[in-house]
Amino acid sequence: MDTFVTQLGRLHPLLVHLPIGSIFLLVAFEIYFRFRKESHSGFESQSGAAIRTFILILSTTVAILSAGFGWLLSQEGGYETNLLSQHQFFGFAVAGLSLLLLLIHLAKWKRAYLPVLAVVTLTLVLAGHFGGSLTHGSDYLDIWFSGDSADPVAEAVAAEPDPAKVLVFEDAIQPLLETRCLSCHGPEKSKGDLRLDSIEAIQRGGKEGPSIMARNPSESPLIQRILLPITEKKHMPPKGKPQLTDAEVALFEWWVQNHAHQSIRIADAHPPPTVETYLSGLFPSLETPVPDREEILEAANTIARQLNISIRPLSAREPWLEVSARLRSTEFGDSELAQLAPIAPAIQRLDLGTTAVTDKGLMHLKSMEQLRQLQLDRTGISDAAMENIAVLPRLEYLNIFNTEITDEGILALTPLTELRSLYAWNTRISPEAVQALSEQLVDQRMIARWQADIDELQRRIENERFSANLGESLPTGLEIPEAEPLPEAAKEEE
Amino acid sequence: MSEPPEIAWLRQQQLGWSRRTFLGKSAQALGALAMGSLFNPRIFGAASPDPAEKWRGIIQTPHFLPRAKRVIHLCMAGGPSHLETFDPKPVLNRLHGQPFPESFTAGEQLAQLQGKELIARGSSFGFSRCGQSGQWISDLFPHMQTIADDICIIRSMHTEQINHDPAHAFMNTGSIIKGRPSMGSWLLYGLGSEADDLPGYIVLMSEGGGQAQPISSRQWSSGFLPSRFQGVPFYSRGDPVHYVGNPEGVCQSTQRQLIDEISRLNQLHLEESLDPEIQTRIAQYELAFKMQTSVPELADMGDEPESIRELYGIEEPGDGSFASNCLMARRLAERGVRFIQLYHRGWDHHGNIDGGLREVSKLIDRPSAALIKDLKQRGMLEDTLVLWGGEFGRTPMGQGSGRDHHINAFSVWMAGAGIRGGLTWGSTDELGYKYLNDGQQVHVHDLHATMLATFGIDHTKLTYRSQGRDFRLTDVHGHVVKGIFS
Repeated sequence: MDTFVTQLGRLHPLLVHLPIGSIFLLVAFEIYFRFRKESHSGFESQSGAAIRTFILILSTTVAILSAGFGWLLSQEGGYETNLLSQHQFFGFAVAGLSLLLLLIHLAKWKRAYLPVLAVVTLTLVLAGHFGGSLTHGSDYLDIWFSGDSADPVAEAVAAEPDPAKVLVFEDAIQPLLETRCLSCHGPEKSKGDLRLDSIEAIQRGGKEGPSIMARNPSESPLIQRILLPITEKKHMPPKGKPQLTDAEVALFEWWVQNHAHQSIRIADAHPPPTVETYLSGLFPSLETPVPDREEILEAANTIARQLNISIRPLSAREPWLEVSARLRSTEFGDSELAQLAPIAPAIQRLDLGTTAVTDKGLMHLKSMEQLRQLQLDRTGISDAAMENIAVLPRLEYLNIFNTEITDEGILALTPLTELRSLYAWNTRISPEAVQALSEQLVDQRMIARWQADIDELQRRIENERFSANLGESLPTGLEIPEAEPLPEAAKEEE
Repeated sequence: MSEPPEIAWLRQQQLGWSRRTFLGKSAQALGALAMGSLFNPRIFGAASPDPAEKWRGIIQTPHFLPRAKRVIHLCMAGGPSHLETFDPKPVLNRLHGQPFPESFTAGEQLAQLQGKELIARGSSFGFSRCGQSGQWISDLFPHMQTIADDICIIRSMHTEQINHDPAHAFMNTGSIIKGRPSMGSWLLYGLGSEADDLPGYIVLMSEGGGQAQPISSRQWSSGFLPSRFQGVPFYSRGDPVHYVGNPEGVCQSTQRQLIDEISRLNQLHLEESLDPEIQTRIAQYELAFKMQTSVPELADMGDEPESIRELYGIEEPGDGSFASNCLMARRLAERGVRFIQLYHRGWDHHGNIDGGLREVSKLIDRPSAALIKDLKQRGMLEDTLVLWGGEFGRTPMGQGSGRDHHINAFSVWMAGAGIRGGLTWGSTDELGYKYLNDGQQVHVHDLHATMLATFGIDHTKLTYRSQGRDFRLTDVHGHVVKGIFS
């Protein structure tokens, strides 16, 4: 079909409100003059009939136009067919009945006039209801009537306060999809043949194919569309609709990267700090409490003297600790590591280099959720140790030089999204494996995007540069310098 | 939380002194009364830490997030010329052999060139842009050129002392007045040392490539701080410490008994005289006993693979060379020593600067670069601060075939411990005569403040009361050079 004509269909949402207004005006007019029985301006009067004729002609015209444009719009597709056919039926009915009412009025068939007007009004209400359901979703009014903050995310929280049961997709992703996406990509209206109301539907996708690729956010159309600049036509949610916040975008990216292929509890999902902050805002019960500084330091003091290791606080206000057992060397082993348990939640840096800890002993690291730096150089650990390390969500620095770790070991580190420094000299790790790991950990496209942003900002700065020229005269006393004499030593060398 | 013994100790020290002052000025009777409590050994004993126990530092919680755990100071003693090393000056090269512009030097204090005719002297050596960062480094240093991206070159250094000994004192203590503690001693006082079987502050020497000016032992003195915090020089040739073995017929347990008995007697003496230096003596006996086992292990470089010796360019470990000292520095760093200072005496090029620089560069270039690479491959560059530089720079005016001392501009570099590699910080004027006052100028006090900041210490808060006033390493000066942190 001709695109111009199709585009005309988009005037439908504008036009539909005209017949609604004018028909309700007529109803108001009828009711008003039923109670004010003054002969000269009343229901029976000449001028009354003229006004009625005018309103009816107007209503009929705009009703017919609306129905026509509506039909054009429906040709674009993407709407839930059941709802659409109901809306269409009542829409055409309004147009037809308005015409009928006009004819009845002109024929002065008074007995039929009021009943038909009632039918027109009822039809109009039904057409409006189904139209509204098409654009806003069929549960639009339900939410409104519930009188809540209309925030299904908050509702999910209220309904599921047990942190042990909160799920990533069902409790964090799905409520977001409901508020931000489902009005266009839901059961009622599925633009681009895309529905986002269930994990299966998301995976099935729409016209562009599957909307997510698990473990690959940058290849997932869902993420791509979200990340497009808002000025782009293909950006989602469309301009003018409520947008996703940065934290919500990060949540989507993290979910696609790590957990889109599974149903997992948030408590087990090890989100990176940005996502974690967002999630713990949603589910306050998920937040791990900050350990009490005084208690931790008291315990640290005792442990440091008992084990003869160095434990230092990292901050004057927070409880975080730096623990080094390096100088105890092989006198420090798994049982000593286990004794760190009382201060484990506060350890941010742990130096176990040259100690006698083993693969198995490293299971004690599990409770060190704050750990950022870990030295395990010159220990007897092997690839088996990596599963105990891969669960440390905040780890940024890992030193495994002079160990027996192989490629297989470090490829198990992919869940460590925050890892930025790996020291692996004198191991059996190949440069290819390191390359593969870095590709898993760092999204090069994201960096390229930031680079593009920097370039754009640079361009704007250049654009804003102002220079004024008030003329300039050449300074006096400038002479052409002598030819460069080479320094003596250089001359000697030549 | 109970008061850490280090804090209690400090409280005791200061209490003792204020009482002493009080006694001096009071009537005898009142003094005698106070004597009773002052000299009651139980009061003193309760608050004082066991002097044989490890000192954990006066700063119990850092003021900022600490990055550094140790410092390796590669002190290029004698005053390396910045103009041939890290600060290329094409304009000076053009002026070579011509009179030095008087506008620069009028009224300025010079050392040996005072009152002489001043002739500009260009650099005989070329510079190259190195690494990803494109930092300019002299072709004299082909190896250091390969670590350009790891080091932050500061070109705007300036100091206040124009002769070697006071300038070293200024670099070490922030003052030329005798009796001030050096920066290593301040760090030990503030943080203690991780190692308890080696001194926390160790000094090594090497020489070659130029006039070797003497280095006085006051450079690593603890000044008014208790002397347990002073630097301990190790021999760089042969055994680092002599006579650590037991004499024939004495076994380790006999030795232990001997030390215990001496410590007991010292403890008695301490309770009587209250002299904190006796605490030092007790601590040093204990340390020396531990060093009987730790030093032979440290000195045995046989466990270093050939590749590492090759990296540093060491001909024979323990041969007294700068290269051997650099490897020793890394071994000390691994063993938890807080402050390691390597002096290379050979940069005082008043004459034949070109020949001298060639010679000294051969001795120090490769080991300096190797130290950075070796620390880096061990993951230690993240928490080791390396400082490379001399006590001052050299004049852009020639002194015959050399250059004179110069305090208005010199270059140093720092690496590790959160310092941004690949950065050139600060500048000098077009002739390399004076630092530019462009907000990136770095005074020796600023360097000290910055060094303490890498350890998480606010330089205004590390103080010690001596002779009635609080002293600090930066005295009343110093700004942290925040721009060089990554």
